[in-house]
Amino acid sequence: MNNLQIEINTETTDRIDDLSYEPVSPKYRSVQTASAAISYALLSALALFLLLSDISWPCIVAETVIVSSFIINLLILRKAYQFKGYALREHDITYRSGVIFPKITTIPFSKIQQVSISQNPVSKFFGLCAIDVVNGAQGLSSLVIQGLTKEKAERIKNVITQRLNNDHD
Amino acid sequence: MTDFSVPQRMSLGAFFIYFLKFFRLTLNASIIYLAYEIFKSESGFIGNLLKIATIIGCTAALALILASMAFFKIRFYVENGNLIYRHHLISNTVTTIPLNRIHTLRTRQGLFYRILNVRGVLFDTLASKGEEIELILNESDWQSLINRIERQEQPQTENPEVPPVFNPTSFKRFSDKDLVFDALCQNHLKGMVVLGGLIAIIFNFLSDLSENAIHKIANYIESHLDLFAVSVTGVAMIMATAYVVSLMLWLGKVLLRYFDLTLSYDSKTLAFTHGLFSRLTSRFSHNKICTIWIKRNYFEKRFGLCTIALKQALNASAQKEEDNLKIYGKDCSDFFLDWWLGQGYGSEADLSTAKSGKGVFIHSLLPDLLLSSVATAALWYFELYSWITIPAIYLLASIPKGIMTMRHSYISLKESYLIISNGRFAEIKNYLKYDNVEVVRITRTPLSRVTGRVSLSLSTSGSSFTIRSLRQENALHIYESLLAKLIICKDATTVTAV
Repeated sequence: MNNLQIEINTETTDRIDDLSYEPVSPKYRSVQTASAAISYALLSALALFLLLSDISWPCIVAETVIVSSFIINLLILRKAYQFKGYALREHDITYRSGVIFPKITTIPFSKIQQVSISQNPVSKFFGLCAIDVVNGAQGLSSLVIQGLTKEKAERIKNVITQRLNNDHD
Repeated sequence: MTDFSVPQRMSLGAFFIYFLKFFRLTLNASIIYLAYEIFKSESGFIGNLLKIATIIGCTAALALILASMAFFKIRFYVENGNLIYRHHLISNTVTTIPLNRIHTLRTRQGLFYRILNVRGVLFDTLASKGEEIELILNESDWQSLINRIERQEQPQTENPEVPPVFNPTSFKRFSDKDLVFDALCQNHLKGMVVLGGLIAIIFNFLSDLSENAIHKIANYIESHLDLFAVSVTGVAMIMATAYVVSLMLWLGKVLLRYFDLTLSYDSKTLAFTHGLFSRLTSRFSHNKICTIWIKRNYFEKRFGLCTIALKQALNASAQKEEDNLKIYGKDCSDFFLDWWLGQGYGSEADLSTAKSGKGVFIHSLLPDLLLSSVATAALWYFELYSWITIPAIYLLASIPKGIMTMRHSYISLKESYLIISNGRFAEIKNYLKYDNVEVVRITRTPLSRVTGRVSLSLSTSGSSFTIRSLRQENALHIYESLLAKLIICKDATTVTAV
């Protein structure tokens, strides 16, 4: 039984722990930074409402907490980016993600039900997409790979849909 | 005749349907504001009418904008055997559904659909989470689409939606005496939680009563305070009474639902008939069952009893838990496993087994430790020192619970099926076929580098499992073996189909 890795030219292998993971686009770091900046800016703006009260220290404390959280978040996002990656083998797709609880998820092509490619306004600005691979499981029912270029997302989608259609040949 | 080979919009009627949907949505959202404006207003009947007209006009304008966005931004087409659906509202999404994955086409024709001579077409796959896609088409487009789908769809050897012909050849009756006996062997403390829930509902109801009634009840309690004085014996008596009540309620529920359980079956289908007053029928197809769940607690093991549940595959449109049935009584697990996994399932050799380590014990203990600590802190704060024994006992009881959880937790791969064992005080074995596994995941924890232990999760179309604290090398071996077995199952299915 073979399950050789495809899409990567470095070295073919067939074991999950030896896979070479394709990293997501470096621009994804900018997407994450921009998304985090927008979220924290909104939080920070909300915290300014605390100034409506007579005392100002709750607002200062809240803003300090928000800014420190933002800095910590940026550091975590950097680590998260380094670990993120995907790999395609002959029969399945594997995605690696997470920082504190790193995880590797594999979905066999034969179990995939639908594939979506999506772009939110931030990722669209940076020219990136996300691919959502949906299967029939009750838990872990979807695998979302963020930070892909349009071409890569299309290529992954084509590989998956070709496999699915060939299953019935 | 439309051929759907290029991206196209839905029929014009879809625009009106979208408008009505968004109008209803926005009107619902603004109705409270509308009512508030009318009640506080002092501008008279004409003034109020003007306000209503303005708000309805704004709502209609908003609905019109949303409907235009939905109508003009959604396009769909069929290409290379896939239905492709593009929608560009705030985010751009292109969803691809291979036609051979569509297992049900549902149509919807409400009143407005009929007036506009359109129908809503919904595509169901086995995806449990996938978004529901509705195309609103006129009759000619619908006919063209169904023709296109039929032309492109690969012929299937077996239609999963058509249930096999049920021709029962054998029958089995389950004893009511064993049903009651096994029901008594269950953990009834859960029933007390239900009882607590009922009390909470009654309390909630009381708080909704008029203040006068509440004052009367409060005065009554105040005047009879001595009777309500709580002592340890009093609490024990209340707990014992609650236990007996919950036991009776539980027995009643089991008898109402599972009295006179009979099974008729053939090689493809199991059909259960049960119930005291209204007779219910539950039917399980051989190919739709994804897990057989077998529980044996200490008492069940001692008296040769067990609880069995057959779990079926569910998708987004299926009713969760509706078809799941529990069989209480004598241990007849071999009968169901023989039927589902094939005779001789018990003689299959172990391909690989991985047992959980101490991490499971800690994982089981942590929530209890947290709960006990909070309770102790609260009791200490209120100076109820003697009551601290309760969280202490609870914490002590969670130690054997953790040990038992650790002992019960393992995964074992056989030639044609796998067993996932879990459970706390009771041993629970889940039997799965490889073909039912949809996705596998390995998760490391911050301590994995030190302990070398990881968690393995797998999910089927009807249930999910996580086996914690497995040795990393064993977990990876099982992970790879599961995927390899899935390829073999797929190849076997393809060969059978050919």
